[in-house]
Amino acid sequence: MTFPKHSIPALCKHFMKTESKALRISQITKAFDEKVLDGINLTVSSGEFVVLVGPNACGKTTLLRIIAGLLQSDYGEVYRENKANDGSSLSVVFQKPLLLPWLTLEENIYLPLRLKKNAAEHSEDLDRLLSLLDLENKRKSYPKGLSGGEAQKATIARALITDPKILLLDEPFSALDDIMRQELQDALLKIWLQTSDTVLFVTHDLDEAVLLADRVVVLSRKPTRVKQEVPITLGRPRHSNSPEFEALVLLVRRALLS
Amino acid sequence: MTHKLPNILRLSLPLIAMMSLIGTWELVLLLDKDRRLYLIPGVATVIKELWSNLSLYVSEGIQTLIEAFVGFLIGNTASFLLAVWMSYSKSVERIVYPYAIALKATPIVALAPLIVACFGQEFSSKVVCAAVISFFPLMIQCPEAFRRVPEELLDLFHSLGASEKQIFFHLRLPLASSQIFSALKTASSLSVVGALMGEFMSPTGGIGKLLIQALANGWGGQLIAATIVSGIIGVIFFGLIHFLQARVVYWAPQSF
Repeated sequence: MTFPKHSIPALCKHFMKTESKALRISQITKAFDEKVLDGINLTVSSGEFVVLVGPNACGKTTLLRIIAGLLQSDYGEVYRENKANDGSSLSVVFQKPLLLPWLTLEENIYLPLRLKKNAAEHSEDLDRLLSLLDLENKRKSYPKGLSGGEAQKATIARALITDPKILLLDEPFSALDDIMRQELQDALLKIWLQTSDTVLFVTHDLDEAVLLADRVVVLSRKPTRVKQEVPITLGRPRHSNSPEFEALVLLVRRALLS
Repeated sequence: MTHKLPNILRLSLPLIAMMSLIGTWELVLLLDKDRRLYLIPGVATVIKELWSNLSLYVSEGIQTLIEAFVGFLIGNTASFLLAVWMSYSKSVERIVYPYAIALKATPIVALAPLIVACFGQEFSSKVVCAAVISFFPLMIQCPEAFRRVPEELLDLFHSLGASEKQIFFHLRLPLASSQIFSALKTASSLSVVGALMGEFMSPTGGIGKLLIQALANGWGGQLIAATIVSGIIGVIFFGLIHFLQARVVYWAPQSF
């Protein structure tokens, strides 16, 4: 399997990213009927692509919801650089596409701007996103006329339209077939290399984790802690059939199962 | 498994049903040797009655339609506002709901004389009758529809920093719109019943007056003709709401 070659200037821009901290999670603890998160500590640099992996139901989504401000932790704090009161510095892509069926694809993408007072809708931003995600011919379609992959691409565009500094993605490609998943992984990488956004991505697919991440954070079973952090030192584009790639997948798997 | 009927058959089925009804009607009259149904005339008499007094049926029908429509607007505006309030406040729902149910359980026949006593013999009493009876479907269905929003959609809106007002107008209201229209369709038929009931209690005009007049004088042709016109009013009203639903809730599957 090969992945598209990204432009050299984009790669240079990416590697020249600053080392300032975009996100710092300190001692996050959360219990429902039982303790789910047990003092999670994590720091994410500006422009870094971090992937969270962990056993099923270990609280990955709970952690993401706490970071997004959708859930209160019992203990601990989330520090975000450039935190805006209206949430515009952070966008979330959920597992399900969650497009509003009464809006066209274009209107769905504009939704975050329409909810903000005084936010201008720049058609060039929309055009750029639609072109990047290959959705130009679907802009007037309603969600019922979109495939699963197109719907999820639209949610990525909706998350990016506000030009967020941090992008949180909760297993966004888990319901897609292999071909569509690969297409969306490529599109996400392309966007990330262009924007240098900070990305926190949750998945249970270890190949996907190694393919996308600068660093894979492995979580333990409940009560969940950070078990191990695996830096992914491979250059991009990455090839999933290369021995180095397979070795890193194995390393993450061992960390997960240990 | 459902079979799709050919177009010609699908369109002709209502016509066949009507012809069967007319046939049965004429057959029953033919078999009624003792003239027990002396008040019920044949189909031809009814058609003649409708045709010769068309302007009367149209003007009285419009009066009933206006009473029903104004009552529908007043009743459903009040009901919608109360439903929104109830959806945000369980205490308001706890206070209002038992009384609303008690009022709903009271037959409009029992309420109509009281309404006429309070609002007089004219237009307003019929409008109030229509408003009272068409108030309930929306009030009963709406609060739950406004509350029943998938958690993940609320998460999406909260993550976008939406205010509760925005969540209501951009999410709760569109999501509840199918149920709102379903309640409005029920209310539209009920408002015609309310207006007719008001006219029965104070027969100063409208189709209700024609019905009361026909029954009192034994005018069978007028009785059936006025009943048909009241049915047409109900169908027009229902059709109007259905037409609006198809345009407002264009994204949802349509159903009667």
